[in-house]
Amino acid sequence: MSSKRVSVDQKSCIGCGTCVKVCPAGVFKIVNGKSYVVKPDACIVCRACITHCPTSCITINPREYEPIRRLYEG
Amino acid sequence: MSKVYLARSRLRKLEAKESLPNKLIKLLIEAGIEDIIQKGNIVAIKVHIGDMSNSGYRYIRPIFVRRVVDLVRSLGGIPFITDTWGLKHVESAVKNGFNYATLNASVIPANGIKENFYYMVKVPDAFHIKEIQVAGNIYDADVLINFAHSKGHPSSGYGGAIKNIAMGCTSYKTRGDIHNLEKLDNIGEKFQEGLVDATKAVLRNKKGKAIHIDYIMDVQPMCDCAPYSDNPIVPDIGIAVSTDIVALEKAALDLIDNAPPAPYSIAEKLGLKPGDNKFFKIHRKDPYIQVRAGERAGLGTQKYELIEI
Repeated sequence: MSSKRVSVDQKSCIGCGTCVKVCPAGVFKIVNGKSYVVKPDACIVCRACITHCPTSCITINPREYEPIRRLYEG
Repeated sequence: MSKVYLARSRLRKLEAKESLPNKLIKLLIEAGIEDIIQKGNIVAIKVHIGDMSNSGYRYIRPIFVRRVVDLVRSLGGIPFITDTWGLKHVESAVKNGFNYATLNASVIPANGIKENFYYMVKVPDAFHIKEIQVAGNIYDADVLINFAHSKGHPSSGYGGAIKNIAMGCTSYKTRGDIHNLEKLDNIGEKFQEGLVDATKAVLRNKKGKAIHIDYIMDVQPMCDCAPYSDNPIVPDIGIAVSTDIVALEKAALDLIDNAPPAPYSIAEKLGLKPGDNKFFKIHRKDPYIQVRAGERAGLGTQKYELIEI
């Protein structure tokens, strides 16, 4: 499972649970030996998961801040 | 009243000594770096080395960092370049032009290969966060050269010298604690006070051993960690240096706000004018909150004398 904000490459994920352990926002959950993104909008982009992941299988996109986004629409 | 030293990027004469990298050395000496670095000191030079996907490009140009490294070495110091996010970010740094070949100094993670090297530091009279995980290599360094890029940030309106320390010289746990403060209001007040808590902790063992630089060039609307770099919102201004981080940030914000909006930028699109609180109008977060909070926390004064070299 992935989302626009946070995604896990399931082919590379070994289900070690490190991302679950280090994430301060509860974004990830291990299900059947793989990490799944269960709360993507809770991500605060601290990048602890990226820093720690032993297979570098996590990608995070920038948060969508509404005030500045308005300047890039229309 | 604190002194803030400014070198403008604009040339007064067509001479090499007028070029900004050369003026940066003069700035640092005027600001007292020779009193801060003793022979044999290990000197951390904290820079934001760009985003992890190597897509953004408006970060501090390595040539400026190289000049600082050479100055530190000439004073007998032992410099290293550092940033947070562990070893993977160092890999990004190499691709972004920050490496031994270009800088004449090692690039090492501020807090270990996976950000687990830190010291717990208590913050007396904290606004929100009473204990900060200070990056181990920053804590252990004898001197901190806080080389920050002045630019916009969606959580605080602006990110410069204070944010470079608060987010860049701490651990992921502390970054999480600060970001979680965003949920408490919509104006970035608590978040910016959290930045000041972290800055206070990092600077606690650096009394008389820290100097702060705001690189007021390529003032892009968003953080250097974003994988894009929009056009700067104001024309290039220059570089400012001070040993007072509050005075420096106030001066940098004033310089940016007093500047005209840059053509082809979102500042122009918004119709901003000289004198406008530009980052507030762009991000709806008042960046002066962190300056006022810094003063209240005892990190410096908002009253400054601007000395142009």
